[in-house]
Amino acid sequence: VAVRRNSATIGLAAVVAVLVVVNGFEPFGQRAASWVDNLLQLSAGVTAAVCGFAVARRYNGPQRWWRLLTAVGMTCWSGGQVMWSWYQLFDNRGLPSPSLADVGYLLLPVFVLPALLVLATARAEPSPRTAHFGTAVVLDGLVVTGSLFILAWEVALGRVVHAHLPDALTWAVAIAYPITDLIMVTVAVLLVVFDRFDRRNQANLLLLALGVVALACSDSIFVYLVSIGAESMKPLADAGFVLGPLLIGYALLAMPAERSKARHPDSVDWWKFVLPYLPVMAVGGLFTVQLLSGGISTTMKSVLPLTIAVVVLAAAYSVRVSVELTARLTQTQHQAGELAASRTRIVQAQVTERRRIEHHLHDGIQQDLVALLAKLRLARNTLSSNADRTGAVLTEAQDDVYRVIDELRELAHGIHPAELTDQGLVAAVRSRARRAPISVAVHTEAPVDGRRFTADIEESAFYLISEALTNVLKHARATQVSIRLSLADGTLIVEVADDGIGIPLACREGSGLTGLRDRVAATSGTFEVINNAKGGTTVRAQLPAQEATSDASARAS
Amino acid sequence: MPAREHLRILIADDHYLVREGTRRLLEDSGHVTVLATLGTPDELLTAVEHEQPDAVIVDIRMPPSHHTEGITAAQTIRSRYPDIGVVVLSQHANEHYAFALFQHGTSGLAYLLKERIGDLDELIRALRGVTAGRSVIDPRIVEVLLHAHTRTTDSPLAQLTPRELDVLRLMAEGKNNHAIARTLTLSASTIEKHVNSTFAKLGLAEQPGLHHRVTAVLTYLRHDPPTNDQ
Repeated sequence: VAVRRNSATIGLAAVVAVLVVVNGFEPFGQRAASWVDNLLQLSAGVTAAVCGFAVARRYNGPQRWWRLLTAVGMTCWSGGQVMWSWYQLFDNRGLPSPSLADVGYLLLPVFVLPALLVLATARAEPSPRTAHFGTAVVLDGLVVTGSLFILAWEVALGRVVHAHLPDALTWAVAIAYPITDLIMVTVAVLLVVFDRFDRRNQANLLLLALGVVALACSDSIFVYLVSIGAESMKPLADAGFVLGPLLIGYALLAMPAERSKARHPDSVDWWKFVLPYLPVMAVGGLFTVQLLSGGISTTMKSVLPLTIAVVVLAAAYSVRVSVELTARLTQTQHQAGELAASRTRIVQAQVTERRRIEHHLHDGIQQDLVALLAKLRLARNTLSSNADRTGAVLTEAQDDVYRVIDELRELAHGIHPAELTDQGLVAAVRSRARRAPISVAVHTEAPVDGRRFTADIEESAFYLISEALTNVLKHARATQVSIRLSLADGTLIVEVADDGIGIPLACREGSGLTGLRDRVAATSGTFEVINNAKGGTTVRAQLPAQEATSDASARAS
Repeated sequence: MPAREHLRILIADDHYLVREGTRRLLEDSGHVTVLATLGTPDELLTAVEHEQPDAVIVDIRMPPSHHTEGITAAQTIRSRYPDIGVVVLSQHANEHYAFALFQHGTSGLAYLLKERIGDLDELIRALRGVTAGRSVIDPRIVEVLLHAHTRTTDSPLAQLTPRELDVLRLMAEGKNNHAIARTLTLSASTIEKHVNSTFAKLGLAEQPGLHHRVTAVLTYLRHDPPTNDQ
């Protein structure tokens, strides 16, 4: 439906555009063309106003206000247009200035400017600010404002200023058009460039801005004609007065896009980066035209160096941003590579662990059970003949079962210690410490005791301590180990310190420590190995400590 | 309270073969009548109310979530019916589960590893113990706690003689002087002497009742000795 409506909209706009162009050639004489032209302008203005009022009723808040303001502006403009048409069609005045029509026309910016600002404030969420946003605003703002001003000056403003108009009022009215247009267009372009509006309202703002630009184009021609004292205005020059209100009407009709349809928030609109330079390109074009026609204006001569200076400044700034972006890109690629490598290692570790468990089940426990089966069979064989022997074998079998149960318990504990889930991190660490062959002291700071964290944090912290302890027992020749658990600023700090021989520098990056590092990195924590000054090693990790849900903490109590 | 000759008990375990096997073993001993076997803590609590047994055997992991429902059920029964003893059977050889069971008091409660089912005499002894208001703790748990103390050279436990350590271990398991004497094949008066000297060396006050003694010993063992690392 949306697609069909879109194509209908575009079709209508195209038809109107064609009509305006065809009418511009005055196929049925000047009088008929003037009638068609005035009717088109009037109907476009009225349509925009009606659209604005109708759609505004369906909304609340800023969405209603910017539409109401624009609709009121278009109503005033249409009022001016009625006056204008009367002058043109019945009073036979070609280019009346100043006139009552100017009052209606000049009221449009009074309402559209606030409408633009209201639309800009209708944001669902504040947009994220990229680095150097302030500098970008100043430079791009200068580029946009400066080049638009040059354009306006060259086309209309400068001419009016220097024109010899009959009286002050004529002059004031003539100059009011380019000034208000310049302000509206600059504000609209700056709003688009600096993303000062909700992405959902992008279509509204763009259409509104285009409408304003279209009106400004025809306004400039009008003012130019006034300044040279022309008698009338050609229907083709009025194209902006038809298409402008039409575009504004579309802006009022456009619905805010659905959130799901909105593009990915991280996506970048490349044209927004180009937009500030479009007016610059137009200035360049104008300069080229003046150069070719051999009449570079004095204003152009004096302002052009300034423009070039600002553009060069902006370019220099772009270079700086590019350098920074390249550096960040390199850094990001490096991090991505590291991440991929650690993911591979984690998966490999998982596979190795599964193989170990499978091996243990098949070659350990299953074999024990088979042996047990043989013993039971033996007991059964000797049942009738040798009761004493049977008793001895059954006792053996029972002892075997005790052993298998122990083995299973060890294995299950190795896969996941149940007390970690049931009793929490501190209890699991304490019982791990009690089972170590050397003295292991566990120090906990008050808030850690009895606190439950999310399962992955508890598990990571426990395995870190457990693995570090295993490393100490295997390699460090330590006599004492001290485990410290503390909580600071939402970070769980885990420390395993021993008084052993320390880790040789070559082993610091070894596979055992890499496994610990990966495990900590998977929780976005940090990990370090410190050789103590007094001898021995400290393994220290900081993990982001999300508190567990009430369910888990209820279990802990 | 004199120990009853014949025990009337309930068994709660969500594993059918385990609870029926345990029932047969206990009934074959001739010392125990199993009034009913149940699969969930709720069924157990209802049956306890109706049957008023002497003691209850309950598995630590039970529906709905298979964590420590058995411990909760044991504490509920002890608080509602102070005369009914509870033996919790556990697959965890981990002292923190025992601490959790004993956190509101030790009397009339036992924490045994599940494989003690194979050691029928020990199981029946534990049932008689909790029925009489004593407490029993699995030797494996006591072993871990003692080990954590003895590996530190400056622990007060280092001052105990090997005999006194044996006595401490058996006290922690919940045995009375008589049972300790029988286990170590020594006279009751010798045991009493060892008990007194052990308490003195650990700096513990003499405890009037047996379950107070267990509590004191467990509390002592529960806290690892201070280390001189910092």
